[in-house]
Amino acid sequence: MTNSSSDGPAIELSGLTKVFGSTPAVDNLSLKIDRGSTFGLLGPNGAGKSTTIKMLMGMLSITAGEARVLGVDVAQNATIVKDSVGYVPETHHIYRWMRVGDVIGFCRALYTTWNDQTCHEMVDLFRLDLSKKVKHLSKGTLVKLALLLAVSHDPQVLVLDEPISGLDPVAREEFLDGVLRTICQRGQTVLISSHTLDDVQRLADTVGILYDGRLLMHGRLDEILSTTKRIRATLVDGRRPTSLPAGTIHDRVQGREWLVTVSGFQAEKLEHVRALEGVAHVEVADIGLEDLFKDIVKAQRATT
Amino acid sequence: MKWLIWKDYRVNRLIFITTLVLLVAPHALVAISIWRGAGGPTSPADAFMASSVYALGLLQLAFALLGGNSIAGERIDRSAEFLAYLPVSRGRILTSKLLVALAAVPLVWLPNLVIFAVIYAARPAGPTPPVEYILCVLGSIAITGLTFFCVAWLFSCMLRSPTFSVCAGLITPFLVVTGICWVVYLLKLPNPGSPLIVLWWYGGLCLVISAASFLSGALYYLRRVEP
Repeated sequence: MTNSSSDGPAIELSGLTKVFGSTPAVDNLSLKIDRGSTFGLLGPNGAGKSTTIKMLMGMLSITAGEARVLGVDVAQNATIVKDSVGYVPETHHIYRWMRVGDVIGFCRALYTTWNDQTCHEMVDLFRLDLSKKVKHLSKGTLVKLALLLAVSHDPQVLVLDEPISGLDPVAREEFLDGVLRTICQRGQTVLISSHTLDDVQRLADTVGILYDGRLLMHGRLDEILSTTKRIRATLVDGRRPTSLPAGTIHDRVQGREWLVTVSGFQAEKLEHVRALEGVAHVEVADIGLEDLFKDIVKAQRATT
Repeated sequence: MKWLIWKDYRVNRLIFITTLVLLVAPHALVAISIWRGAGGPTSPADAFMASSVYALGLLQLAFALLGGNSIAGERIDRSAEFLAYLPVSRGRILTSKLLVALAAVPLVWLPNLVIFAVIYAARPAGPTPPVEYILCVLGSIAITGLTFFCVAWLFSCMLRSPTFSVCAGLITPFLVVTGICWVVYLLKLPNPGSPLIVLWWYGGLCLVISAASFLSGALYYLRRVEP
């Protein structure tokens, strides 16, 4: 298939694997991202997020498996994929000697669907000085320029690889406004990888958590957060009970407090904890994405 | 393609400026020495012919620089990563770089050949070097420049160090000459009699190395996924 198809998932990974030497960076990753959704790809450093994204963008060879963007096989037709995807990398290597206007002209000549109106809107929104050289731009302005280049060809898919790391809160806010504006106005599919989980929670409707190149959790964010709870129990003697409720992601004891993060929460699980010996008082609390992420990563680290 | 060529010219602008300086410098030095009466027994015509050949030889360095900087130059400053996510095929990237390098050929050769030819035709009667000898010298300069470029290009396609690529390009013709000398010495071959035969060997070997280097470099880059 050479042309992008109009149905099916926006991004489809099947058994995607990348091995560096003998170390797998991405291990048999299978994932579907629906069109029009905003997918947050989470994971600690070295989980394989950037490697996955680089394979998706046709910038890194694929050891095994397949990556399709809008139905197009990345390994076979990387140029077609790049034409329909906007990409903001973590680090920016735009030609430093070019002026902002030159960079825009350069990219405009390479994309088949460049939209001057979108570009002008973004220039105005970010108040970019077209005559300024890239090497003289601040990090925040450079990220805004990268976003402008990523959205000005009206891509169907926007891929953001930790785009806001190292930005001050104002620049981060302006960047996210730009992304939100794009999502709202054009209904694009967005894949965002970020360590700033508050921002992911604000943008994403679906999330996936990657650890050691494997996908640990994947689903709609509201469903995950509504079915995952933190049970807070007070222990009589501070000793951790041996029996854990089904679906326990992670548990820890702090003094006499026992915190259990449970997926697929139901009232029976609460009763299970109440019935345990040495448990005095039990209550249930909602959990945020950041706490959930931390618990999942801690649980994985404890088992490996 | 216009923007790609502009970008590649701009990336190599310093090399082009250096080329222009090296193009003018030998002739300017000769002109100054003649003007100051320091030409010695050599006639001005002979001096300018010599400076043309000297400039031509010196300017072949530009091809090593262009070849070595072609791909590796953008890898080392990581701007290749920017180009890697733009929708441009490897074939177009290579074509643009090749066109920019080819633009240096007339810049290097035309002015010097014109100066040489005009002076050669207009010089007063007297002992002149035979045409075969002149063609031989010019041919070996051209083949050396081609080898500089192609070997530097090969390493530039494979590595991320433009310096190493340029050095590899520059050293190859000398390795070829040394290799020929060793073969002649070790196999105890009879004296070839004419240096032309050695030059034919040199030219032939350099052409084969150049073609192989250029094609393998281009194929390697076209098949590679990473920037």
